[in-house]
Amino acid sequence: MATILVVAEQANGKLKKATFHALGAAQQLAQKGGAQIQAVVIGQGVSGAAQELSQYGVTVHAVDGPEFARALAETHSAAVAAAAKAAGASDVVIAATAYGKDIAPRAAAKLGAGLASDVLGFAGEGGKAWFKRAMWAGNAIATVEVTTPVRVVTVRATEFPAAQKGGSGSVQPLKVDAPQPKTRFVEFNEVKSARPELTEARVVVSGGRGTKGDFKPIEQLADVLNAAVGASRAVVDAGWQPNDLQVGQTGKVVAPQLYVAAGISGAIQHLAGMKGSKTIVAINKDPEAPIFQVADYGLVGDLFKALPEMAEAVKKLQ
Amino acid sequence: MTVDLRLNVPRYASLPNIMKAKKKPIAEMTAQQLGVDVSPKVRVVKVEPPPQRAAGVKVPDVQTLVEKLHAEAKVI
Repeated sequence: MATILVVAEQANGKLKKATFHALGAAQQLAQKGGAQIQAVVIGQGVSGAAQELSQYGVTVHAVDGPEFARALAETHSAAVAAAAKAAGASDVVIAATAYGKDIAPRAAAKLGAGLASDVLGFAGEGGKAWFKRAMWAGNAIATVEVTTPVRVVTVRATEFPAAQKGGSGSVQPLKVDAPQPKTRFVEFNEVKSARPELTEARVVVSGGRGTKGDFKPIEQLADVLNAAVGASRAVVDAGWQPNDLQVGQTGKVVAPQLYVAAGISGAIQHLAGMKGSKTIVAINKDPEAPIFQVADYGLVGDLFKALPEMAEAVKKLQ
Repeated sequence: MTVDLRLNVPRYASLPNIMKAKKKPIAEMTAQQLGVDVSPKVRVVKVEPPPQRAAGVKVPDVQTLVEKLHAEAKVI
């Protein structure tokens, strides 16, 4: 039987949410051709994370050691390739996060495998699974076939449901000789935020050029809704907000239950990053703004008045 | 190294340098000479437009918006 290997992503021994979405994608892929699923967790002190993942009914290969403590692409991709060989995997599935995008191409090269990146869904039957992926800022969906015996895919976490616990699995330690890396970890500076992470939040409130750099109304509403704060490219380019808040083609792809776009005109590159949201609300002064073409609810008005009003109204509901 | 979009301001080629560049020899080589395999590992089966999002409704004021989000969309 064919085997699909899911690469887990963890930080400080805790699995990232994207891992479960990657597992969900692997389950969909497995249904196409009747494959079994295994997983690999890489890092230092990951036995807890490996145990947790095994509760999803998969055999987990744990690659544990100080040489894997930091997520360097060189060592981690070597571990992925080793695990894929150990599992006899025909497909390697990784979430298309910064981590996944970093290691997938290297792992594919080591395995002589073709790569399909940022996959949104599967098509085709049996061993001939085809991959649907977004091209041209989401303006076209290409269906591609990877023609190599082993295939590496990165999947867009927002397009697949998270896997549910169930079934019995086990953890197997896997010894991997890490290559001597040509890069060295120096330090890690984390931006601490009380708000949920942009790509994992249930609600996202984003501001654009219309905020004129004043994000207070955005943050106010975000606090009431327990939402993450996002921004359009114009805002980040102007230096009003840091890079990691950017939603769009060159920023993050989000698909929350509710996306509120305030003062964002809706350039195609921005839409590419949030079109998958379940409900989209647009607040903009310009009634002709393209954002209204994708919004479920549009409000023509001044965000500096509308957002505080909205925050008040939501508070009353809670 | 891959770099962030906003890392720096690009240095553009000056006109004299563009003129000079036209006279520079360009060496052509094949992938074979370099010993790399460039045969495609991915075949495009088809390309199609993405599903369109239907345009929604315009709401007159914030009160209506919040009510709709609560009662219709059930997201808040």
